[in-house]
This record gives sequence, C-alpha cells and structure tokens, in this order.
Amino acid sequence: MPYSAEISRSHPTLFVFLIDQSGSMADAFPGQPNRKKADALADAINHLLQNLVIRCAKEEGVRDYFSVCVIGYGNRVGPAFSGPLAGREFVPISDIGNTPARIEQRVKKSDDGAGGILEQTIKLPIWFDPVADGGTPMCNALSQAQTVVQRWIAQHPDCFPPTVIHITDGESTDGDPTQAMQSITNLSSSDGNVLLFNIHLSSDASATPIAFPDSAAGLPNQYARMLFECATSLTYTMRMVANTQHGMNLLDGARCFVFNAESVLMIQALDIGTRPSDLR
Amino acid sequence: MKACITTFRSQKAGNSESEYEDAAWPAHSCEQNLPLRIAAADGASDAVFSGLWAEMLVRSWGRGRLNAPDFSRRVGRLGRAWRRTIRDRQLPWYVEEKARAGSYAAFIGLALSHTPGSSSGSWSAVACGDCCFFQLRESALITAFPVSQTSDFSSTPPLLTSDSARQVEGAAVLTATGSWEENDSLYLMTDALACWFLASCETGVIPWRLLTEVTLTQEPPFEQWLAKLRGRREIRNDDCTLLNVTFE
Repeated sequence: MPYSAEISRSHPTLFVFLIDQSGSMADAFPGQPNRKKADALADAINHLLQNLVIRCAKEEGVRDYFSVCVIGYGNRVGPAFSGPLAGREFVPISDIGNTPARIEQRVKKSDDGAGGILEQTIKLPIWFDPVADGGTPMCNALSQAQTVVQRWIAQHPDCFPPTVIHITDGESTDGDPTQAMQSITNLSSSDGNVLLFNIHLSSDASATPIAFPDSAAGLPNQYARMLFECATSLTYTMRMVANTQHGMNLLDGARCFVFNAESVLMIQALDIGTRPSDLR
Repeated sequence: MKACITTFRSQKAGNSESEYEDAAWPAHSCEQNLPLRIAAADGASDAVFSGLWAEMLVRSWGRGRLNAPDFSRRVGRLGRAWRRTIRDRQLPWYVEEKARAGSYAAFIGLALSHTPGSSSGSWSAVACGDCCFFQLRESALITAFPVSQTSDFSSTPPLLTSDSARQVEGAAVLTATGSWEENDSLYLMTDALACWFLASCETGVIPWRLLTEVTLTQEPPFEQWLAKLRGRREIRNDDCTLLNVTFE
C-alpha cells in the first residue's frame, strides 16, 4: 500500500517549499490592507518550521524525521533560508531547530487553569524573511525542486515520498509549468509518487476560495484547472487532519490544491500538507 | 502469601535503551508479600519528558500515593512535581516550548490484597488509556480491562497529562474490581503488546502457553520473542512493557 512507509530517523522524508517571491507578493491580501502576502507567507513558513521542529523535539534534541528545502523564486531562484542556513539545499530538521537566523520574543496570553490569564514570553525563531521582487520564474523553480527531490530519492529510495508545497499568487512568466510539475509527480520512492501541493493565494476580494476539490468542475479558469490537474491527491492522514482538525469534509480523491486562498486557508493548507502520515 | 512479579521491558526497535518511554512498577522482577501494587505506563512519543512522567506515575502508584477516590487530583499534584523537576534545566527553545504543553502517558495500576486464611484475594485497577490488565484462569481469559477488543485501540487514547489545565475528565479514568485465585496469572501490558494479545484471542487462540513460556521459563527470551513478532509484523513497533504476577 503506498504512503505507508515509516517516517523515522532511519527513514526520514523530505518537505520542499517552493515559494513565489515575485513583485506581486508585496500586494496585500484582499480584506487585509496592512498585510502584505509576502509578510503573511513568511510568518506562516516560520511558524510551520517551528511546529515541525517541535513535533520532532525530544528532551535530548530534535530527531531527524524530516529534512526541509525552501526554494524561493522571483528576482532570483534558489535556496531561500536566511542566516546561517542560507544557500543550503536540504536541511535536516535538527539543524533547522538549532540554527535559526534569529530568535524574536513575543508575549503570549493563555488560560492559567485557575480562571486567570497567564502572560508568558515565548521565543519565536525566524529562518525565512519576506521577499517580493521580480517576475514569476515558476518553471525554473519547479525544475530546481525536481533536482532536489530526485537527489533525495536516490539517497532514500524507500522513504515516505517527499512532499512539494508550491505557493504562488500568480501565473508563470517563464513558460507553461505543466510539464515541470508532472516531472516532479512522476518521481517516486518505493512507497509511492511524490506529493505536490499547489496553493494559490488570492489577489481578488471578490474571488471565492476553493479548498481541496476532488473534481475540476466549478474551477473558474484554465489556470486553476492546470494547477488542479497537476496536484496529487491528499493522503489518508492528510484528509483526516483536514476533516478532524480543520472542520473540512474531504472525500477520497481530494486534491492537494487550494485556489484564491486567504491567509487562514493558506495556513490550514500548509498544516495539512506537512502531516502526510503519523510519526512512528 | 507471596506474589512472584516478573517485569519485562523493551524499547522500540531502532531506538536506544535510553529512549524507552514506558515505565513499570516494580521496575525489576521480584517476589513480594501481599498486599502489593503494580503499574505500567506508556509515555506519549510526541511529548517531551514523557518517560519521566510515566516513571513518576508508576512510582507514585506503587508507593500508594495515587489512589482511586481522588485519583485525578493526585495526578494534578504529581504534574506540578513533574514541572518542578524540569523547571531549572537549561533547555533549547524547542524543548522549552514543547514542555509548556506538558507531558502525557497512558496508565494502568493494579492493587492486590490477600484474604487471610485463604489462597485467594481481591484486586482493584485504575486505568486511563490503553495500557491493559488481563487475568487468565485455567487458560481462559476472564478479565480484560479497560480494553477488551482490538477495535477499541486508537491512535488518540485518553492520556494522563502533567498539565492540570488540560487534565482529562474523570470519565476517562476507569476503575474495576474483582477477585483472584492462587493459580491465576495476571498481566499488565502497554498498548502494542495488549493489542497483539487481544488480536490472538480474537482468532480463538489465547496465547497463554506462549506467555507462560516467555514469562516463567523465559524460553524464548522476551527480546528474542518480541523481535520475531516485530519481524512478522504481528505487533506494532513500539516500546513494550509486560508485567506478570503469579502466586505461591
């Protein structure tokens, strides 16, 4: 049965985040005039990396269940970590935990269990900074992602298949990305084909968000249909996470695809995309 | 009257011994006079210091500091002790953040007493989650508590938490009582073993002879037996803890 390989230190899997850093990412999310998409996305990625590190954390350190690759594309295409990890292609999650670019501090208010409010200073590590500059060289970025995934699979032929999470707010400026996406999803480990998410961010307040459809019917245009067709299906665990923790009602066949996502749906999609299977 | 307690433990295949996050009381095989208290706990793999939390739970039960009438309140007090234990340690940001959510463990405690002048007695058990108590008499399974069928195992069992603000409702802490006889064999098992045991029972074969061989004659040795079960995928790869009580 595909997508059943153990994710463990001896059999880690890979997450690739493919992030649109084109000039249009400096625009605000519809309905949030003071919030640039690039800023919201950087916050979401940092929060996600923090959660991935915490999921793998034990008292003796971070267990390397995952490696992570972040590729940005805009004025330039390539690894997008800030700080000491800058330029690195795939990074074990323990290195991510131990090497943030910086740690910011925020005050968090929570229930103290006795009817009061507890104020705690929490640490907020930062690995990735917002960038919004240049065009949308999606094909080039997908091609780099394919190379990274191919190299990973060669080293981990029996791993739980890598998950590529592609986040964009626009259309490719360097050609039709269909073939580049198919080249990624044609790659496979012995446990199944690579998973590809297409998360499309909204630029239009009147557009209706579409989350994880199981058919192309009702998609507004050819571009949306292309992103849908190229996305793979959600794994069983991803669907369970979507249904039980995000109040969705997804059926078998739901695609790793959201269209016109606002910031909340973007965060939900990132969470679902990084929960491919239970950790062992 | 004496009880002979045999304790077995094994970390998940691929992990080091220091990564074992179950706990047993007593931690080592021994003979004890009745009354006595034994326990098993399974620290959650997705929490930090869960081996410590499991250990604190079984030790408190074994020493009579956790009892049925106000069990949840006493677990809350123990949780505060868990937090004090780790408070002064220098922890990296990710452990500090994860520890903020507390730790979790499934638990079963069994208290045995002897009826004077007889070769029998009574038992009482407290459980939260999927650590199990099984009582075998003349090769028949007469008690399975709190889980009695494999379909009741889930990936999200109720757990005892060290964080009093998140403590489970009393309903998730179950109690049971019964009696034992001289020739009974009693077992506590953490979830992977318990699930294997019930799966065998559901096929119509109670693996009492196998358990007797493993626990009494220790032939095959526990580790070797477990490795075979894991190799044949008959048991989930997880920490495994088994306690066996017989009377003499």
